Amino acid sequence: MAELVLKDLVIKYGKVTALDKLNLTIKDGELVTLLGPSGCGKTTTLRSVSGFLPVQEGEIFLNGKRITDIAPEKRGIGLVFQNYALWPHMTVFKNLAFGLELRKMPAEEIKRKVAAVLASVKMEEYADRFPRQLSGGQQQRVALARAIILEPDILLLDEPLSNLDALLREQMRFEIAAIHSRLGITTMYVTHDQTEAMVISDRIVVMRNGRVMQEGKPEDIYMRPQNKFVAGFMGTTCFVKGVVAQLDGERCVLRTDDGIELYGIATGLNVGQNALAAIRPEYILLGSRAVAGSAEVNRFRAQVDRSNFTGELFDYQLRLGNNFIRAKEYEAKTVYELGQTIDIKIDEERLPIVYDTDSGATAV
Amino acid sequence: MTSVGSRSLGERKLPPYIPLLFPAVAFMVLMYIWPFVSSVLQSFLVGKGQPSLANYVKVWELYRKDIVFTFGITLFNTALTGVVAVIFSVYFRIRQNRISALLSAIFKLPIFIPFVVVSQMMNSFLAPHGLLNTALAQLGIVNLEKPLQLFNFAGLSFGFAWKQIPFAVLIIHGGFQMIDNSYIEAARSVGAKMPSIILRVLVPMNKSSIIVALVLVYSQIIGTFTLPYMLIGGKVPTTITVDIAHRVNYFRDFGVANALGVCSYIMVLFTAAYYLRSKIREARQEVSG
Repeated sequence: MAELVLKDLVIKYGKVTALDKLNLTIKDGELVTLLGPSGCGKTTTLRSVSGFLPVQEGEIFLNGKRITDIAPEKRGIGLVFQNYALWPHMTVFKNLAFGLELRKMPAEEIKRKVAAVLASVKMEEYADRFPRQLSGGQQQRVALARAIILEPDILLLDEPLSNLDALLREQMRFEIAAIHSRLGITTMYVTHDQTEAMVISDRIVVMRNGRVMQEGKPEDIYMRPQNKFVAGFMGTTCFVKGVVAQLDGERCVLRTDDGIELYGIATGLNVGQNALAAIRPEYILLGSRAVAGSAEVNRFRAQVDRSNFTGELFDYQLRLGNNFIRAKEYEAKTVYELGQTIDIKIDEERLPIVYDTDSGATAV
Repeated sequence: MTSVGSRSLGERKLPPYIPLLFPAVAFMVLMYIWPFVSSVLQSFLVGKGQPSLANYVKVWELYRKDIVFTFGITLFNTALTGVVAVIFSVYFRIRQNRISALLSAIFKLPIFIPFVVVSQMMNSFLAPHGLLNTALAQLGIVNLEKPLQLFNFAGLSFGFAWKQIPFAVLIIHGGFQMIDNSYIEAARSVGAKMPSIILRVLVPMNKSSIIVALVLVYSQIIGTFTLPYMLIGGKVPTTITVDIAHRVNYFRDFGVANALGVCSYIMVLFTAAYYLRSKIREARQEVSG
């Protein structure tokens, strides 16, 4: 069992707090992604787990054993770097064999093991190549193979796909997820790419300013963000300000300044509290689709303010009362003109009402 | 029968870059190649220009010990400089703190001190009653009636090391600085300790800088005159450079001096060839990359 526990971690760079009492548990075999913008503390967290960054306060436990002060080479971790960090003077075989040689493993066993791991990342034909003779994707696979060949307790991946082109990145996301589910190694994955995080993760931890803003399954993070930061970071979101008018369990009604009542879902809010409706463009129905159902809830009249055709969809900017929101319509049968007033309906099951993190609300 | 586009050799035009190369090539020919070729040719001439191997016979009879001494001290000091410079460079690369920053700044100072000044300093420092012997005598290590004799291989090596190690560190440390931390961290993450990281990751990754530094140090030591002249002078064995000065100043014997020069050319030939080859390879990689 390889469970990683971070307890009240604090790391400061001078006066800047990079990690602010961070608590996190990664269960055995779980792939957890630390997601957030530059400077949020995700790489700092990974480096503190790897041992390359000393922790100023707090503790790190791996399999129940305190590893906070243990040297990186003794932690039993596998690391994949953003730049792959394959040693350029060694062949692919040598890159993989290096760690095994340090452990005085017999040459025959090293050969067998390297061949098996290279096969698992579909690189068995490239054992004699040097890193410079490989493409970015192939280098990435070798870096992953080097990290897993020592059968580490935990695998740490620091933005491993960020140097690849878009097409390859998309392909590698699935491959990493497949390798993880095959090997079942407890994995911490760092990225700023929300799509990558959604595809790859068992659980996502969204970070900001060294603190966890929200953690949960990818669909929960996307569908049920709990604050403005998370809602804004995941996908395209339009925010409409208001006051919580009613609460019934998770059901929430937000009343805007111009009297519009938006029905959505919320957690941890109180009646009378300022909050935001996080409206996602893909969850708005337009025109005849909006009036197709019988429910009147979240059905409004809005004016087309801007219209863009991107090829696969129409992207509209609509004026709803005093606010502007965006709506995306795929397979559009009707094209709406600028200035036209149309019916819209916002899916109440997919309308999070969230904390306004910019107004000083606390993180969860 | 002639085909369209075929031309005789006489009709071929010079590529346009040839005239552009002329000034540089002319300078090289006049300032380097001609004196070099002329020196080699003169080493095979005696009297009024008769071809002969007499100069080389004289070199063999009078100076073979000095040739061996020169080659030995050059090889020894190149190796010593290489080992010490790599150790210091690794230290400056890995321990990036105030002490290493201060040391690396102070360390560069000898590079800016001319060889003649270094020679004078070494003369005072290493003399039988110089600073080193006096200090050691005060510590009770040396008896000043029988002081350490350092105007020889040992003293010369000390002087060369003092002057050349900082120069080698400058080049080698620059190479180490180019290696991203992730390569070191990747090695540590698979269990490598510092000796393995240095010998199996850092040094091989910085091989070209180390070799270039050693080639330059080797060539500089072999051609140094002032330090051996001021420490050893005409005593046997001494270096080829002192012998050349001796043949020219006292005998006006340019034939033997040139023959000695050819011996030192041969000693640096292989290292110079390696240096040029590595530079050409680098230039090609830059063009293709």
